[in-house]
Amino acid sequence: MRASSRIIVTLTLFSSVFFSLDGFSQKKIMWTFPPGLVKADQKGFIKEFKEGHELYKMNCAKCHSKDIDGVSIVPNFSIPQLMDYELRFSYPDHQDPMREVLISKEELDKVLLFLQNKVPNEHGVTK
Amino acid sequence: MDETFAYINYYQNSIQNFLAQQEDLVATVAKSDFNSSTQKELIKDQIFNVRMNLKANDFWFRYLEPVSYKKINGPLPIEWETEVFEKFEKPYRREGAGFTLALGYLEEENCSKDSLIELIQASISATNVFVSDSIKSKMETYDHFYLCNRLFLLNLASIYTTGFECPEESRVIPELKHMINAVSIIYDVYNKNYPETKLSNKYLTLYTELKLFLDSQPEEPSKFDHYTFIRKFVNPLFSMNQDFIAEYKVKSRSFVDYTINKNCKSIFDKSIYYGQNSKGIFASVTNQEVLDEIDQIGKLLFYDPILSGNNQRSCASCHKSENYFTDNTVTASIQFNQSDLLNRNTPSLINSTFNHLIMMDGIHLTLQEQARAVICNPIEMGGDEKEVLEKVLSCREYKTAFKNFLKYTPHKKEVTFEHIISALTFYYSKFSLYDAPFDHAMNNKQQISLSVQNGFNLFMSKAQCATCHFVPQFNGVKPPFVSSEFEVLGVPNHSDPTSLDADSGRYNVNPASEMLFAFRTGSIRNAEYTQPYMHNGIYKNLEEVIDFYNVGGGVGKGLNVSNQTLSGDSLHLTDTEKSDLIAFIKSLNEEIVFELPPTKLPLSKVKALNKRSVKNIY
Repeated sequence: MRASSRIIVTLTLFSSVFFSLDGFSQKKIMWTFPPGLVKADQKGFIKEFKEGHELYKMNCAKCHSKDIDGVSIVPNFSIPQLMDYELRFSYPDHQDPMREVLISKEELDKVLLFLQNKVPNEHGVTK
Repeated sequence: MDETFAYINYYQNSIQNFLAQQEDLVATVAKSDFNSSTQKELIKDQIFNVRMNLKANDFWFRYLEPVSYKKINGPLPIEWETEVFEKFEKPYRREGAGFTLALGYLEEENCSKDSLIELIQASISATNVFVSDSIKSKMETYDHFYLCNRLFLLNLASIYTTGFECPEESRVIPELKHMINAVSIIYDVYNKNYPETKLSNKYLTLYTELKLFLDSQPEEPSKFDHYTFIRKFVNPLFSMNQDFIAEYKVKSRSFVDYTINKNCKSIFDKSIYYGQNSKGIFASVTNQEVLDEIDQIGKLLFYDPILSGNNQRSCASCHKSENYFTDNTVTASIQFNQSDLLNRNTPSLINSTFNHLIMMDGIHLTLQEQARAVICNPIEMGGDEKEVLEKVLSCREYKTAFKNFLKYTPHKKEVTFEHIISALTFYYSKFSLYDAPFDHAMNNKQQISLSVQNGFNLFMSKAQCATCHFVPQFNGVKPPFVSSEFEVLGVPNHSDPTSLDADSGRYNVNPASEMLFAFRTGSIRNAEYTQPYMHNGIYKNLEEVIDFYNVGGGVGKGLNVSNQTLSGDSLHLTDTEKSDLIAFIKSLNEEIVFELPPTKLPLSKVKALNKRSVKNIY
């Protein structure tokens, strides 16, 4: 099971590199399954991961992305940076865009799931 | 003298002084004889003095570390979740300590020396937090000053004059005066230290006028002119402080500011508090045309019985627009089975968007969760998520609209139940945006009768309403608007008023003994139109409600309510006072423009569904 998921990750990693070399935006970002995730939950995980990526584009990318050769790169945040609800107010610039009237608890959870489990970008972009 | 550190030095000296005073109090208590009533009186006087000093520092305490503040001046021995920012976490228990509890405890017959000292020691530990490095770092820039001041001004309108956190009625105004004078000194020291970002002369002049006004006022809270105090002084000062926050680009890193709209210039402007997300999944939509389309679809859905299991009930079955989205004709609505009654009265949807938690027991965190629950509840609308979605999408008008909305929710690849309930909540929430004559009066746009003013002054004092129905929402959400209060009132059973209503309320959600029979404090806005009242609809008119409070709630009526949070004593309201109170409550009627129901509903390709109608709902 683990081997096959590794193959998928590697294959798709390859394709995302391929896309970016081709000048596309970093559309497809791959994931690593969290340790202990049972197979039955993998499909649900991928769905939430993809939703998290879309929500990231809608709510976060305006400030947190970096253009490299025309490709918008999602940063590799560190675990301490990815705090939970404290993200909503701990940075002064977050209070307005991260109000509950704009991004719900469930949506924020999906963004965090996306950022915590995505395969890191190879450019070392971190914020 | 070096002015650079004058402000922070002043702060530290002030806290040290407060600490020393508390240590003195511990020493006094330790050597006192608790059998001597004169010695106990001396302790009481000393606690009053400590409280004065507490009030002098309240400006900083309450903002900089609200959790520690609960140990210095907690209003209740045990509190559940009432200051929880992150409502998604499980409720947790917090033990209060400090000088409100100490005063109350001293009055108790079996008051022990050790327990009293414990309450004070807990406060001393909490006070030490305020001299820690983490607090010091928060004070290194001027930002905190304007944010402390904002919370201070909000609380001047909401709690400081009401007796909330002050058990002795006669001390409310003296403590207030002391606080106002202490803050005046803080302003002076701050202005000298931060000349680039100082309070303007205009602000300071109005603040001086506020002090003079206070000096001219009687010290009896029920004779104090709360109305003028807030309208003429507190609200304009708040407005100026909001200007400073914008002008000086004040930055916050605290949850205390999180739900307060920094662009709002009046406490009596509903936009001050962000409240619930009425748009749900459509949160990021800002285009007015698109919003109008969502609103139109939401309206159709609101009146459409297609959302129910038998296609005969809609939201409008119980939430009638002609009754301010409640139902005036029944104490509780009929169940899905068309024979039994529900346990609770239908709450108005108006202003539900300004609730921290939803439902009378606070079981739901969002409006969308509530909509989902009522549609799927077998005794309410008896629907099923999947079936409802299929039925809705079987109507071409709905299907086209929702498919079109998908581009605004790129994280969802297909139409979901979430889209449906978000359109619903967006539709009805627009009726919460209206103001009342009282708001206009507070904003100096309208005169209001003396009876209303008297009623408000009573509401804030003798009638003890405002310690739960907080200004300006007049519900259980007090500044800084990050929590919801629950109260045990002892409301009698509907069919047998000599016994307590069996509905255990908040206890269903949080099974803690303090929460048994507790209900979320509702808003009194539009109360004239939302009868019947209380969670079970037992009272038919406002007079009955006021009489219930006037006798001391359930306890006052002789019911056995061991954990009632409302005082069981009579309020001793006169008839004139009662009618003034009602005049004030009626001044909170919002001038809402309601809409007529749709004349026809979208056609479905399932023929049987086209028999449904707006008119044939129960």
